[in-house]
Amino acid sequence: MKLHALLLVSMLLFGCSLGGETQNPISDTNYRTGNSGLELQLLDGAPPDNVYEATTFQVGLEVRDSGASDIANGRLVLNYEPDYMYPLSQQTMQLGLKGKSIANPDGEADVRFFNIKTKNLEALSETHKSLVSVSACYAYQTVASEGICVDSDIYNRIQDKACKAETLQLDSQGAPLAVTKIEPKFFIDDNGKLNPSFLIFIENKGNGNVINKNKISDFCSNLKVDKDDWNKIEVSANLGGMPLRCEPLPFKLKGQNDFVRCGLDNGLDKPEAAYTSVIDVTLDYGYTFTVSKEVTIDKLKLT
Amino acid sequence: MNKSLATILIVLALFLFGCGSTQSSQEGDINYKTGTQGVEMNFMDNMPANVVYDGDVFNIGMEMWNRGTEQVPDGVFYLSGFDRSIITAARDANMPVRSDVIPIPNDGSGVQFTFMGDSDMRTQYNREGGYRQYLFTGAVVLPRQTTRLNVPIRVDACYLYNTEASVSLCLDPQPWKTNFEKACNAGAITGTGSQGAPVSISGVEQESVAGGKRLRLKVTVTNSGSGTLLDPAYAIPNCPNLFNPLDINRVEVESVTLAGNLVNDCKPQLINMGNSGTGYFYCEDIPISQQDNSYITTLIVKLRYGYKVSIQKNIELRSTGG
Repeated sequence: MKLHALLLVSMLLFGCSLGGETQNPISDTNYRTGNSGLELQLLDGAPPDNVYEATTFQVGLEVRDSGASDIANGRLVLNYEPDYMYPLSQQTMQLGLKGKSIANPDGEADVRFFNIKTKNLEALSETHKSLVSVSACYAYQTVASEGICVDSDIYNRIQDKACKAETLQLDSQGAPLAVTKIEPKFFIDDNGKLNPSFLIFIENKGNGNVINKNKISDFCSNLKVDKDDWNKIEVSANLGGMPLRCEPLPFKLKGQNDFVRCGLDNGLDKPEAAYTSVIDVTLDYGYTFTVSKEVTIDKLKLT
Repeated sequence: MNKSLATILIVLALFLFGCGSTQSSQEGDINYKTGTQGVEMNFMDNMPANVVYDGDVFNIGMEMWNRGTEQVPDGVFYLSGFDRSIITAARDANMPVRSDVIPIPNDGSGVQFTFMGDSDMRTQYNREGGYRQYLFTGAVVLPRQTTRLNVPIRVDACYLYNTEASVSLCLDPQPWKTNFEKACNAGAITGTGSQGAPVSISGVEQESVAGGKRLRLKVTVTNSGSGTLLDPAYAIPNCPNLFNPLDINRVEVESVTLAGNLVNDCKPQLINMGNSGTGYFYCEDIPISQQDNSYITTLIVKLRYGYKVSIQKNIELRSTGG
């Protein structure tokens, strides 16, 4: 009898707990969030705070692709004071990492090391503070894909309809460049066709700078870079699978909050009722940023 | 003791079941011409489902009733709310081809419907009204970059309808004579209730003119349903969203008879109901029978109009992550 009661209670407890908790379906996770792309983190003690002259030390980095896109041809470049130290291994490294996904919800990570040797200090110097830094340059992509209302009722005469054309306020898409707002505008042309156009607002929400994605290697090298290659973004957009023409192209991001205008060249047959479609905006660009640490080189005193 | 108990129980049972079996009003006696419903629709359970995945073929099931007391000689409904390049026409490969399962119209064309005959409307013998079922199939084709999309599935239906109201009216050919008891009191009638249609006659005011020989009527018409009134001339061709402001909130006065005689001078013939959903028409110069006392007669008003009703369900389309 006691055993039966115990079994019944156990069934109630576990039965209730199994059925009571709702779980998010697997396909519910959205990886296109956040403002990060490539993240660099200097490892503790690599480099150390103090090093002696004529000794070897390491600059260690944890590199992680925390964004939603993959990095294929990224570059890491070591920067140092050549009068006080020199690299023992390569100064430049190639980088390839996969972004967030179901298989890798935090994004792919790796650890990289640069080996450096300090030179002897001048005879009269006891210490010298020197900045060691690593710059990253990589090509990245921001993809914003949102439902948008296509509505030919441009004067809002119909109150009850499937959707209303409204400005979309967006946050982030798992990349340092974000599409923050999409403003739809519709008008009827002389042929009775519906012409949609969209103002797409773009903001640099990351901790670095936007560069021309075709000049990645130039930026992370000693080569001179053209000022026109800063803040250069390739913008493409589609509405329901139909390509939109965007201008100005090439697009140069001015300030924190700039916009590009995209429209459909031939217009749409005027729909009888409002409907929800998809607007896809893809930004292709390069990105660069630097992490650094001050290292104190101490004179080696031999007793 | 047992016998007494059994007797008590039997008597109790007789009271309970005997009292409960009072016969309700006989068939045919029910005033069925009430209510403000016309054509109603709803989506069938889980058709569409709340979440549909990229590449899936899914069903949209819709039920339609004629819960009013009139026929629907002409009606059309449209599926909308979604991009037809994302939800496309498809046939379910696992289902045998049936004529009653319709691929979602790719060109946005409408589906005609009617409700004709006694079995298709509410009558004293048919309390449910007419019923239809429609099944559509569609396939989801999400753009490559899209992981999820919230999409409304909307049905707009436009149909022609009538309201026929029969109102008892007291007429007084000698309103100035008050020195005898009148058979009935002539005056305004309000709260005439509903007439088994979304538009109802909600009040009648009368005024005796020409020394009691003629009558002037003011009839109040109300949109008591939850849909949109449409000019019957444009309800079908301009459905669902091509109406201009002059096509909306319009009711046509089809005929007015008083005491069996057609009343000719009623205006306006096309009532503007306005956004308030209430309108009026006036009938002038109606001759009435000259009797010695007031008397009750019947005013029959027939209205004709278009009506638009809509239903909508929001579903989520999800990519499969492939």
